[in-house]
Amino acid sequence: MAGRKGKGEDKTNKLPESSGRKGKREDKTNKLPESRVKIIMKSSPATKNIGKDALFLANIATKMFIQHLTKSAYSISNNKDELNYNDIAEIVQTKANMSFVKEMMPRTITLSQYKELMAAKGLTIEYESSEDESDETGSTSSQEQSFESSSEVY
Amino acid sequence: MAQSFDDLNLPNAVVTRIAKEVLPENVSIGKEARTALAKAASVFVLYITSASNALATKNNRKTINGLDVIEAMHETDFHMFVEHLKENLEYFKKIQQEKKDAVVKQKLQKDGESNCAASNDNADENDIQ
Repeated sequence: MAGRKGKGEDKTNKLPESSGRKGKREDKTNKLPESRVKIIMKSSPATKNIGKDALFLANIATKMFIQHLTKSAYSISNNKDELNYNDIAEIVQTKANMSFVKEMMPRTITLSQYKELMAAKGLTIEYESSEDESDETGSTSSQEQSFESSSEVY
Repeated sequence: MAQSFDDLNLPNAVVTRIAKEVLPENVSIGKEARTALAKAASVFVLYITSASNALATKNNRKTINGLDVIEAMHETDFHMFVEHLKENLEYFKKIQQEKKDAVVKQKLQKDGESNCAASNDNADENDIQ
């Protein structure tokens, strides 16, 4: 607890509590850096001027987004001790309003699954790997590799 | 697409802290998950900016305002954010107004003080009675 407070600005003004969000009280000191948010907004092509109220709300909306995605992912997770990439990817791949990040967050599959997929397409994969071929039969939890955004896999 | 976000990423640490607010205390967030959340959040900023821009343009404005952002939530299918954002917009306006009032008040005080200084010299003479 001690580590969280005191870092960054301490906004003691009371922000309205998140309506409809069960769970923890909103911590006012966890704010996204406004300057960074602004830079991202300005990097958008054809960006106009950004009103202060817009910047303020964009900041809050992004925070809500992070929490929304986190909660959704955790709710479908099998591991209640840790939130995994795959839980997040699952939400992103299945929810309609998450389609804007779909491309950059593919589900991860095991090496054996990838090989099967490629084989089904009549392709063989060449890869540099020091791993044994025998990982196809054993448990794959330590052998999992993520293959990012090669659209032909899907 | 992910590679181009080097400096346009939101800081991992803050994103993680925000995420942890809605998780039970003992739950950790994997390293890849943290990065994914931060990247997704950055893309979200761009996404709502784009939507807000479009709305401002539609209304012949050159500046995105708070209402554009709220309307953008409808456009992007994040309706559940609208209520909270509306509350915050009201809060923001209130704070802005209070700031303005404070500035005006300060100014008046200063003017008042300089007037007082002038009339105090007279008052002292009277008080001594």
